Amino acid sequence: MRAVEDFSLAIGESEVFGLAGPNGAGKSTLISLLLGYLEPTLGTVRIAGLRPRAFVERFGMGYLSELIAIPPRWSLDEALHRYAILAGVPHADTARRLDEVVDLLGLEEHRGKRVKQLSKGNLQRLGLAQALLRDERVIILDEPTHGLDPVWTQRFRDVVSALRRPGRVIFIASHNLDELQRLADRVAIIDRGRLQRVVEPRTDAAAGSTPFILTVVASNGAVQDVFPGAVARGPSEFELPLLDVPTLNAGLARLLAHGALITSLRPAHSMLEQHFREAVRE
Amino acid sequence: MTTSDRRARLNAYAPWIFRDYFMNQGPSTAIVVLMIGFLTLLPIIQGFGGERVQLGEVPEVIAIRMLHAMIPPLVFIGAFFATNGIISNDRKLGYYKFLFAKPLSPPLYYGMIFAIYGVGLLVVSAALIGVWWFTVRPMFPTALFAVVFIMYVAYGGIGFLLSAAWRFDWLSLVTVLLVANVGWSVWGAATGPRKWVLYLLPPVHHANEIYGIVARDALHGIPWASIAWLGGYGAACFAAGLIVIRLRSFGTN
Repeated sequence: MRAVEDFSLAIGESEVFGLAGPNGAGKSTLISLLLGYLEPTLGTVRIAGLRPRAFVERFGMGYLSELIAIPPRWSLDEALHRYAILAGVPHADTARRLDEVVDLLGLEEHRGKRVKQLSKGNLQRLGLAQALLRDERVIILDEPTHGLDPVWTQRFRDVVSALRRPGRVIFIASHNLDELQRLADRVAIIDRGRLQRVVEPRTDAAAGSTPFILTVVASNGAVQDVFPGAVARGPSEFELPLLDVPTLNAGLARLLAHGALITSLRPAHSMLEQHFREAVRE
Repeated sequence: MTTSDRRARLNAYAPWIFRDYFMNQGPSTAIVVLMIGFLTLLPIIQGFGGERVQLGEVPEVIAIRMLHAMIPPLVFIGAFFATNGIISNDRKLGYYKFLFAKPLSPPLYYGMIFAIYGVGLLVVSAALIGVWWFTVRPMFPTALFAVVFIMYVAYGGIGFLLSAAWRFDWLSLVTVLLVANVGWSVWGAATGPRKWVLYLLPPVHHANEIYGIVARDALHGIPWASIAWLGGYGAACFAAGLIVIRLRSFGTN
């Protein structure tokens, strides 16, 4: 069985690159190929001109796997200390670096706990912490917010944003399209092992390409007068038909002139979500 | 990152491997061997078939015979516990994922673990000799360390290869050694193709001669041929294991 085929892609040096796809699409297989944990039966994978295994053995990668596998008897501190040695964090910097990642990921109170005593969210943060121990050129994050609560999901986005730097590639595979929409410069959509399309979420996102949801305090009639074809989705909430920017703005101005209170206006689907639906349907 | 950097990091990591051995395989080896030793010593101190003897005062002849009887379980259990799951567990449980995303060479990493576990087994053997000193007879047979080392390379090397090759390493190690024992004892004198097939199996029939080194079997001297056979077989398996680690993708089961 071929998990990934007909897949050709080049990722730039300073990119945050996303990979989206349904379950079983081949995301994890692709990541295993990037780390050299699997060899392609046909074709090549190169990182900075090297075979993945050669690259990893020479430079290392920051890698967070979807399932966190760390020996359960290790304590959190011990795990980070071990990984820091193996990652090549200089001995003199180890304690400082450990303190930094522990602080960054809010793990201070769990330092003495064994891995088996950690909750799913804390284990995920430990996984992320070990990936960030060294200043790696390539960081691969597989479902990085899996198991994180909303606070840490938001915090994770800040952490990844702070990791951006020239010359560093951050590769994120996720089911969470909203996360990829916010973080990634480009997103590859993969389905049934094949690359369906590559999307630039921020560049592609523009009014006129997606319907909007309007939340407004006004009579239903007023909204439907201004935006014919608007569909009520709940109290004070309407899905507007596909409109270009001037028409949308003019309509909103008319509503405001009629004394309506607009409390929110947001895309019905993110641009990425729309691309995803289309790509996976194809 | 240069090769010497990678080696330096592995050296820095070595104390953790030692610690792992002395938290896991070391105590297990010591406990099982002590239990076997206790069962061997019990009839002697109870005087079955002769005079009762005091703890720590077993006559030298009997002590050496006992030692000779204790070596096979020590070397087998020591090598078995040390190499069981040495590579296959990391594959099976997914521990390789974070490990080998670091700038590490898997063959070098596992080669180092194999070497450190071997040293660990020598330390456990020394501790067991300490127990022996007080419970059987004050003696320090230095040749035992040579025997443990040779047999660790022999049996451990086979275990290492099997662990690199697939997940059922403990079962296959026991099977291979059992089949080799039966094969060499039944068809050891055979000639022709059957003999050549036997040569593929570990030359376990040489083990007794190596154990004899401890029994100060001076008449026969040092059995260099047996050492070369068994040690060479184990070393070849170890080298093959390193190649398998290099060639077999970690993402495959």
